[in-house]
Amino acid sequence: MARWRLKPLDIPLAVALSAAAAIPWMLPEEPGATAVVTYPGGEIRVGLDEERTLVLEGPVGETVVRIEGGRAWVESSDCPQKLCVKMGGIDKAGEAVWCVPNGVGVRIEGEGGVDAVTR
Amino acid sequence: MPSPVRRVVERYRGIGLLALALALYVLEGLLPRPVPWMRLGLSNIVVLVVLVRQGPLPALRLSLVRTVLGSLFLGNLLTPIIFMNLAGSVASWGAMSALLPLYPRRVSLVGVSLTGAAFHAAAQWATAILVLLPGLAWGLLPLVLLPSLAAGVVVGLITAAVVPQEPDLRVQPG
Repeated sequence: MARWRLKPLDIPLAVALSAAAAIPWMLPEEPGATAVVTYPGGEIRVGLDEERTLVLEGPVGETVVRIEGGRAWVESSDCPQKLCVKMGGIDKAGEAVWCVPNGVGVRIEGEGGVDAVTR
Repeated sequence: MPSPVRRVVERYRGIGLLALALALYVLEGLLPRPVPWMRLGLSNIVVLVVLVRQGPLPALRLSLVRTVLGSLFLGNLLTPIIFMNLAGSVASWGAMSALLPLYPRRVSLVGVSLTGAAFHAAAQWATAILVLLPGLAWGLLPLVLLPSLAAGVVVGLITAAVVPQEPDLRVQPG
């Protein structure tokens, strides 16, 4: 079995990539204002202060997105693995959940910019 | 080894390596994982070996065939997941090939592997966003990239252990 030896650029590479990966954690946290729900037919914007249930049609069936109490989550979906459901709720700007098989995505946007006007 | 046998071994080595990569890819795809898009990337062991021993082009060929056939076996071929996987494979290959001139003097297999893993994850994530989420959901980046770096280190260590002899330009004592 060959013995592995650390080479001079290994650590700098690991540190640089980890730092790049962690950049979003260093940014100030922004509270979410709007849930943007994308699906094969288009896009629906729902304020996080609203209470709504969206039933969206996609290639594998229905995906149900619920917005309530300042959070958004996928309530149920007809996809095989139900990852989108397991991903849980999101409430901060930049967070997202999605159901790849059914083409449904939910992301949270913060205040400001065009989003605040369209609300 | 008699030369006819050697010739057969040489000729079918590529297929053997492909079979190995595919087996690892599919087996890993069947294992339970905390979240399905997080894989250790065991088949990348074979891609790494081919990359350092045969060069970038054979590695790209192996990586693409592995991804397409592996997705076929796992049932992802005709879903958007195939685009995420292909983007990951190509980005990972590109990053690792770019580091190849630095191997093995300045970068070890672990360094090559972790870079490939990070680019794989980043490309997969970017493709998911392009396909599904037009806005940039940056909040997920650390959760996707940091575990992939760890997976890259593990794969790199395994590869370093199985590559028979790491080319070493220093004179070995003894």
